[in-house]
Amino acid sequence: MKNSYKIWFKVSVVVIAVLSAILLGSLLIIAAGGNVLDTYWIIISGPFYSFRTFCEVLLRAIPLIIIALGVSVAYRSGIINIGAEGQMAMGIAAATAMAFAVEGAPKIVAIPLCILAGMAAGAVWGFIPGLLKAKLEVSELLSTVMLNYVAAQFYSFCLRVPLMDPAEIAGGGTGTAMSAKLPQNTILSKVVKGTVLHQGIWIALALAIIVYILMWKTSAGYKMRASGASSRAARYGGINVAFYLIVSMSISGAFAGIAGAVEVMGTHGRALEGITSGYGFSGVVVALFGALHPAGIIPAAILFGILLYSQVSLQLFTSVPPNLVTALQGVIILVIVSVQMIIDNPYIMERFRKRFFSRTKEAAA
Amino acid sequence: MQNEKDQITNLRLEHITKRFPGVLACDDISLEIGKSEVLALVGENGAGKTTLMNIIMGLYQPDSGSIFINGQEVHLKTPNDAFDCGIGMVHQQYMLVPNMTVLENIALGMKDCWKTAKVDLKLVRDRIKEVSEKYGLAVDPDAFIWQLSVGEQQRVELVKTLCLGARFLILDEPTSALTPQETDELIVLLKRMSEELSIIFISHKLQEVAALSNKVAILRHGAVVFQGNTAEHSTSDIAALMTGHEVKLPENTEPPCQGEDALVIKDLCVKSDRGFMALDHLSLSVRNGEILGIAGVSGNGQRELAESITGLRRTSGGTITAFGDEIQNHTPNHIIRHGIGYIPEERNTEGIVPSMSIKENIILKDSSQSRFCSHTFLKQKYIAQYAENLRQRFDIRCPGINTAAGSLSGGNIQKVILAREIDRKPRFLVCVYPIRGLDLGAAEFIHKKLLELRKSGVGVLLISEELDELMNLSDRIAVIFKGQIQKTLDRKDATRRSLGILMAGVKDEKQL
Repeated sequence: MKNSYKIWFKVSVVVIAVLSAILLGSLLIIAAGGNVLDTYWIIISGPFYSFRTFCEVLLRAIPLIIIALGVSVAYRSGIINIGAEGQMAMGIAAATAMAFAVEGAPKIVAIPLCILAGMAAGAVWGFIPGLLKAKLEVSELLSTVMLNYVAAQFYSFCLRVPLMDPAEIAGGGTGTAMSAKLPQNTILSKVVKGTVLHQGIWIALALAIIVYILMWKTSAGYKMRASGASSRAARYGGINVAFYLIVSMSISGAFAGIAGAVEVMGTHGRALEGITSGYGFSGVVVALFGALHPAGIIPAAILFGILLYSQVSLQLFTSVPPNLVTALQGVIILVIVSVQMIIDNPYIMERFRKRFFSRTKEAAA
Repeated sequence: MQNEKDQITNLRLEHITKRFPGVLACDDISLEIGKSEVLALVGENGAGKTTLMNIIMGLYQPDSGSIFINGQEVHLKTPNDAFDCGIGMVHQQYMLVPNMTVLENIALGMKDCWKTAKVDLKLVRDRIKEVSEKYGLAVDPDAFIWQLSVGEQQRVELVKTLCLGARFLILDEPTSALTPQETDELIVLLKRMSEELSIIFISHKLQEVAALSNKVAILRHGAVVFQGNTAEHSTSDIAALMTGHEVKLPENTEPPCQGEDALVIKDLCVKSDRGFMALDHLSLSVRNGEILGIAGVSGNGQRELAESITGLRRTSGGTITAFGDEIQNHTPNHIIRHGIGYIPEERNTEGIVPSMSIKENIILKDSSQSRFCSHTFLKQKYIAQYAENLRQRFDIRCPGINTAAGSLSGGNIQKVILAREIDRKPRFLVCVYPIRGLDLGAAEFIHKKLLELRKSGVGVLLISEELDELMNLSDRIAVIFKGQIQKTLDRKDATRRSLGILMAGVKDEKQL
């Protein structure tokens, strides 16, 4: 009973937060001219309408999980990777190119090769800012964002010149830029027939386990965490901080590259313009929201998947513009981050205790 | 605010009790401070001093008990309430913005100078002038904080607190970061200030308590175990009351040692962070089984010396030879593997990773060694056992080995570092300010361990500013001044006076 006020404190903060998120969201919905109850009901119930729709949610969670895992590795090692968007694009380009190169090879060889290609391309794109930071102290915020631009343009170029769909060229090349369909031997098969969910989900889960083991069970992961938590103490402890910075950033890039490869081989079947669609940035939010831990990242990614999927269902069933969901996402993230700050603040908790619990205590005594 | 001008002639605490989960931090504490009195609050780390001060400052609320100012009961609910009553506190860690000037820093807290669109710096300047003249606290309002020495920064903190209208001062370990000279200056200053206002100061250093305070209160385990007039009690009485037993810091009484050279430094040149020569052709040698003390006012190259031996700083000339091998400009890891341990000056930020657990900090230097790691996987069970063993042997007081190291008190953090460094069985140990800011009990423990290490044949380079510590432990004492060794004295020749003169830069006493 001594600490019961703590539980009450946390519960009431969360309840207030949820209510205020709903309230703020309602204002947005009303401003967009929608019906508040209907909109919420569709966002919440849409994914659970059937197994097929829930698979849609998981489909969107796959790249988020993979990218967020990579971001968490870098973040724990003391470097913030906001270049996943570019790393993912490089991964898509490399995986697509590889897919056409291994046309005709058996599936069991072709698929790993494509994923490896995407992984390598992403790793290179992560290695560069890692190296720049380690050797020249270039801020990773600057280098990763700039490399995002470079990657975006390179990706566009690939879709318009080397990887462009021959059918498009034959047709005059006026349509949207895209590659040809990937050969069948490089397409990830579906987990359950009739749904969109592809084998990438197993890759995402396997990577989550790998990250957990790497970061918490091995000495390399220990060194990365020590470097990230206090680079000064790590250096004092004989840890080569610069080396682990580069390694962690390359791992982070490699994960984004895998996410790209999986996305093109599982979801779309061909490289398209805009395929990264902000996953690289949402991945950072998912990583932080998931407390930089695989066990938190997976549910966080699924929550984001629900929000992303509701864009589709809102369009189907209501007149509310689907972009509203993006705004709602922003509101929800802000509220959750504030809640974490409040819950972790001992002074606010102490004031709560004084206001609501000191009197009852005196009465009891 | 109606009592703005009133002096605080009497502050009385009655039966203050404060509980934290599992700890009774303050146990029925009653204290009284009268006009122009200086109360020294002493006690070991964790005795409840800081909690008590936080209650006076309105940061915590007592579970029971009351506070009276000038006979009137006050309820201090927030730090602002305490400010309004005229209570000001100077914290151990200075709360100053380094890249702002003194004037701007003081303006930060002065609400009456904030106009709608601008800050009335003239008003602040006048106030600073008034305060510095009244109390004899000289500060340059236009200097940037980063340009000031630690002692000057502290003076700025004092001026700031007084400018904000404090008429009652609380100082939390005011001398812990000061050089001996600065400490003496501060004591003179505080004595003068105590004519105008009352002061509570927290300290571990009993000489200061004797020099400055007229009343002393000793806390142990949250309770006042003794209160009285300072003049009537000797420092050793106070020390005994503080720890609950007679404390005599261990002394090195062994004959000078004749072991082989462990560490030899020749003509070492090292640049400081700001680019000037911090070490200028410095030479020294330490034998196995010898403690060589380095005395000196801080900022004369001590940090650079320790960092260049341990590979954390590049040297620009000269050699460092350990056990026959040159180690200058090798990686920190190479030097660790060469058997050189290091207890760094900044124990909270360099010696430990604060957010990691005690267990994880214990393996900081050896996470890839076969002791803790097989085939890249950490031996979690063995590490836990090992850490638990060290926790008991080194008496690290903590809820458990999974506690974040940064949440421990200074003394316990130092014990974690000491446990790691000593149990790695170093061949040589570099030890910088090992007991700075620690209480007597912890200091005693650490000194004992260092002497044990010496006895087992390990050479120790002990960098310190505390002359007593150096004279108690060292076999020889070298005095560092402007990056060079002034002179090396044997323990029997070292006196406070001879060291002090050398530390001030005079090589030959006859020159005086």
